[in-house]
Amino acid sequence: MILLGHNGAGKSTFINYLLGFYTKMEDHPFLREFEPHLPKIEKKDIGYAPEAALLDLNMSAGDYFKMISILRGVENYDSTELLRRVALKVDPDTPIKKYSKGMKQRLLLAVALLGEPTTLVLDEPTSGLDPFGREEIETLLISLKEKHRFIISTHSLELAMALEEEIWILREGKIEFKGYVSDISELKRLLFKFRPERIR
Amino acid sequence: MKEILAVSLFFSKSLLKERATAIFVILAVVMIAIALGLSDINIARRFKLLEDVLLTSQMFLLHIAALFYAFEFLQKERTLGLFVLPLSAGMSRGRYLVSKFITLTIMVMSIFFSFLALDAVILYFIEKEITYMLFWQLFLYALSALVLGFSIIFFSNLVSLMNSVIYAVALFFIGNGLDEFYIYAKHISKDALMQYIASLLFYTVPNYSIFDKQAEVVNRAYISTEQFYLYPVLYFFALLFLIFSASYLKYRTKVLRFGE
Repeated sequence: MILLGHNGAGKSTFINYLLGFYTKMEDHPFLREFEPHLPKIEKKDIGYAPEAALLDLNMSAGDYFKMISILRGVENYDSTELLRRVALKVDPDTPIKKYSKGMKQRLLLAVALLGEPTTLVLDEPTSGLDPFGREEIETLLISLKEKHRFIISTHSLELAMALEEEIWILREGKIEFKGYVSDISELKRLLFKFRPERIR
Repeated sequence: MKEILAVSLFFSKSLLKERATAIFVILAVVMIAIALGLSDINIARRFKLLEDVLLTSQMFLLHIAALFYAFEFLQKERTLGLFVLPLSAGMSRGRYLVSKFITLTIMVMSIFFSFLALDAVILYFIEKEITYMLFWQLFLYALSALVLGFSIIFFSNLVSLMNSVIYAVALFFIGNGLDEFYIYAKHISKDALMQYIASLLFYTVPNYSIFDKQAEVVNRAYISTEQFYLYPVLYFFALLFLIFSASYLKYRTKVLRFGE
């Protein structure tokens, strides 16, 4: 599931609702619209990677792996192998304050992959990255599509096409389109078709 | 329990790496040095002034530490969304809340034990005896500091972080003077309104003065076992239960926002 749409369309709200950060319909005006579309997934089957800015800089990759492995009930894991899978060449004990933004995003992906969850939930994984970092993360995500399902909010149409998942286009809290598109120009046309009035 | 411990240790490790932790211990050492400078002055009893300065400074530092760690943790929780990964990995809100309280307890108790170790060595060398009462008073101050920190966590569910600190500190100051106020209302003023206010405060404000027996300790005056050992600990656990329950009622349905 690829969530596309303008800023404020409700992509992050949809993900936060899926993760249980909202509990009542009154918490957000978009929730009533999203409720019937919410996929039923067990939390243990989800690997979530939020924005890179949300990592605790005092900690290391090893600290994150240790905590998340206990929460997901994963008894055996290999920190070095997890870091290798996301092409992160650092010692697991290196403090995160020494990471670049791209490295942090890779680490979050490694944390999300711990325990091999079936679904990876990613909220704008390439946001704020330079073109090189963005391409690296997108290539990495594409390499993971064989083994995992995605619920991902993004502004990258190239990534949306490459992941070959169902596309959802949101506009001001409404799901306007659900389906597959054949090429990027069709996707662009759809996005423009469903842009909000204030942008028009 | 394994989950709660994993998250608590993760958060505590992060807080321990803050420079403030070392500063608290350094300040304690400085205060010990000052207290040692005063150790020759005898007021009523030998070493009374030394013990007084030690306990007062460490009481102050323990409360500042509780305030700092509660604030720092909650600040990180709001800006970094510390809850995001544990909750998305299947941890329940209740367990996450317990781990917040345990994190604060670990931090305050770490400071308490480091003070205790320093005091035990210094006082043994100076007074040539193990001053158990002093150590127990220090422990009661640690409990009082925890109540302050827990109150901040509780208020943070209802108001902004800065207001949470203000409310908790205001309750701390009121709660410290409660014993005197009860005595005034019941035995000196005897006014009906005063007695009504006293009973209202009794049920709404944590009585921090229960944890303070410093005057009796440094004067080696008599304190009953119940008043010194039993009541403060029971009172602490009753308060902890109440604060946690009230926090949980709010937290289980609260909208969890981050990156603010």
